[in-house]
Amino acid sequence: MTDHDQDSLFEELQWLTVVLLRGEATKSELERFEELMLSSVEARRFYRVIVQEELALKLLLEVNESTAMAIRDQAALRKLAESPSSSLVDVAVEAEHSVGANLNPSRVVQVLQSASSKFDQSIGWRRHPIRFLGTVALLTAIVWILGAIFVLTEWNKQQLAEQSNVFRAPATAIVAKLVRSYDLEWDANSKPLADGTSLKDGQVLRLTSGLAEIQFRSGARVILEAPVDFETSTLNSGKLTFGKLFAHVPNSALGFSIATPKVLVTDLGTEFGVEVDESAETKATVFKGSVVVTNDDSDKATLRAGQSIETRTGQIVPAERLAENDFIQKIPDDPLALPTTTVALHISNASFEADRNTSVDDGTFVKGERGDFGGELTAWRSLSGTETQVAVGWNKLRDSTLHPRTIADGPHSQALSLQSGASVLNTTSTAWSSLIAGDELMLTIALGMPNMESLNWNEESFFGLTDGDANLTTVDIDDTVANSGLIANNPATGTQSGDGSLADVSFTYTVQPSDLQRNGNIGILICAKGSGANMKIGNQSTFDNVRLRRKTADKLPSIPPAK
Amino acid sequence: MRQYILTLLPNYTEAEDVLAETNMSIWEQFDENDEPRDFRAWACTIAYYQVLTRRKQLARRGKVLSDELIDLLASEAVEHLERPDQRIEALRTCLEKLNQAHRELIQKYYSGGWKLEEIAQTLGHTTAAVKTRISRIRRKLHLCIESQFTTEDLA
Repeated sequence: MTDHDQDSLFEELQWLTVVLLRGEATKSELERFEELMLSSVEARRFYRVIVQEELALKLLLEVNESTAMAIRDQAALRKLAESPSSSLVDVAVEAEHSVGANLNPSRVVQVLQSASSKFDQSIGWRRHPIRFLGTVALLTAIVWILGAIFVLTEWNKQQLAEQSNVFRAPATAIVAKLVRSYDLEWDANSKPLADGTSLKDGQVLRLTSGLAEIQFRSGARVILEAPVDFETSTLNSGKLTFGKLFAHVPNSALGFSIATPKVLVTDLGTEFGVEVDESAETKATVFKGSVVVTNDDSDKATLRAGQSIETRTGQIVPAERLAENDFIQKIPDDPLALPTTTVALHISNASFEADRNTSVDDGTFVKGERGDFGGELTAWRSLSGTETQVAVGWNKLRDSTLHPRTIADGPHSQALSLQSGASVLNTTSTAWSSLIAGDELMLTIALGMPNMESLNWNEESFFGLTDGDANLTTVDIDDTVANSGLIANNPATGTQSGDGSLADVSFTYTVQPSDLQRNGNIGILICAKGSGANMKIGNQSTFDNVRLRRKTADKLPSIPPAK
Repeated sequence: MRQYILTLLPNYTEAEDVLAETNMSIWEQFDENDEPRDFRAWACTIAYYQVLTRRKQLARRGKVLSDELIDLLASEAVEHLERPDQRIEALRTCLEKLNQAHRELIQKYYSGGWKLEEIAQTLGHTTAAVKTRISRIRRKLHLCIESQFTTEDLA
């Protein structure tokens, strides 16, 4: 193919494509188009270029027009912005901001491109008869029409509301999705939602604890940090009445806005954080890109990366930048996969091998009243001081004095043995209130059957964590915060009956937000089921080496410093 | 995406509809937990099927490309998909180089929603003459855009 042939092919194809795109092609033009296109790879390559250029031309020229409109109608646009959000309003506000912020035209193109794509989405909601006008042309027309409406001040506001309703998503529109959450607690008046739930416009999320990630249909993503009061407004806007959020806004969602009681924060392609305090004042920080903040008095601030504002009685003033890690940027896929630190919490007298107490009252394991429930094997009691129900090794606790066995008496002489119906308590030096919800507490004890037929782990005994109240006399399994559950006689995982050694049994408890309200320190309770009535050798529960470990996330990932 | 759809369905009005439907469909089908390996290819596949659906409806009116051509375009389009931003930048420069009359003509045709006949009427020319003129300006713009890319490549 010669250059000339190529040129004429391109020219012919170009015109055919132009009329085709505009829906003006005749039947013969369509046939010719097919013929050319099927004939060569070259033609199809040209075609792709032409489509691309046509699209660029359309966007550029139409955008120029609507930018001009936006300049003319700034006042009208501002008023529009005060009306309940709709995608049209979003578009208009963006146009205004682009113009007001003296951005370069390519920025305007970007903003309006995204605006038009958003508009596409919004008209996708309903089949409106005027769709055929073409998105941007339609937008242009609307801006004109509404501008004119505002000029006619007598115009009934009700009618205006109806006008703008046309462009708002229907009442049942799904505008966002609760993508995932972490450790969420919902306000009593807020209906708990599962991850993946679709969110409608006007949906309120009131969270008392945890993190929630919401993805808007526009592609904007926000992380809510409880306590927070948030509402999804449109597919590209939300309302923050109280609390903190971090927003990540991709190009597809330029113009994403967050309304707070005092200001409107409109994004121009960014990552930003917003915080609203009890007195409804707002603080906003930009981490990447820029945002425009406006208030009811038409004050306007354009923030770039690293800049912050706050409101004082509604006035926008510069502010100290919020710290990088003031906002949680991402909810971890698996919170347990976060870097964690596991620390052993101090327990006195934890191991009877290494840290043996020879006095009853010296160890933190407190003995109490001996239980006797008339042979009903349903409950436990602490042992009282002089009862001979706690044994270390084979030697029972006698007259408040331990009489430990020597090594020569057996291989596991220092395990503590509880007679049936007995329980012991221990209190750590760690307060419940010092924990973080989501921490894991792992309680491990070595239990089982030292190499003597008369000692084992009595059937259905258990161990657990308590709220630290050491004054329990009658203990029930329900008195624990968490427990191992009733452990079967000589559990396979806990004892190795073959050689009769002690073996570890653990359970793990995830600290709940409510646990942080507990007054005491973390307590440990170990109970041997049974009663004094059927106390006999063989009904003892033997344990040793009590360990409590706390696994805690080092911290939630913080925002990397803005460049 | 818009460009991809336009390539397969060269009609602004229809393509906008399909784009809206595709966005909707992507939204519905996108599963955070099962993110497609190549999002763009995945999205294009959804768009492709939306185009086919729309085609069936349009076929009744007889104004559609053949299956053969659509399949050919679809198979070639994904790999050639580029962002139009660069072209927009180049185009802006090129538009500025046009003389006033040509720029106004193009503006009218592309943004004003004028038909050839209407432009011809206001200018007192024949439709064919206007068509030729627009076609030439459009060609000029293309060459200008291409030349910009070439210069950039050399730079």
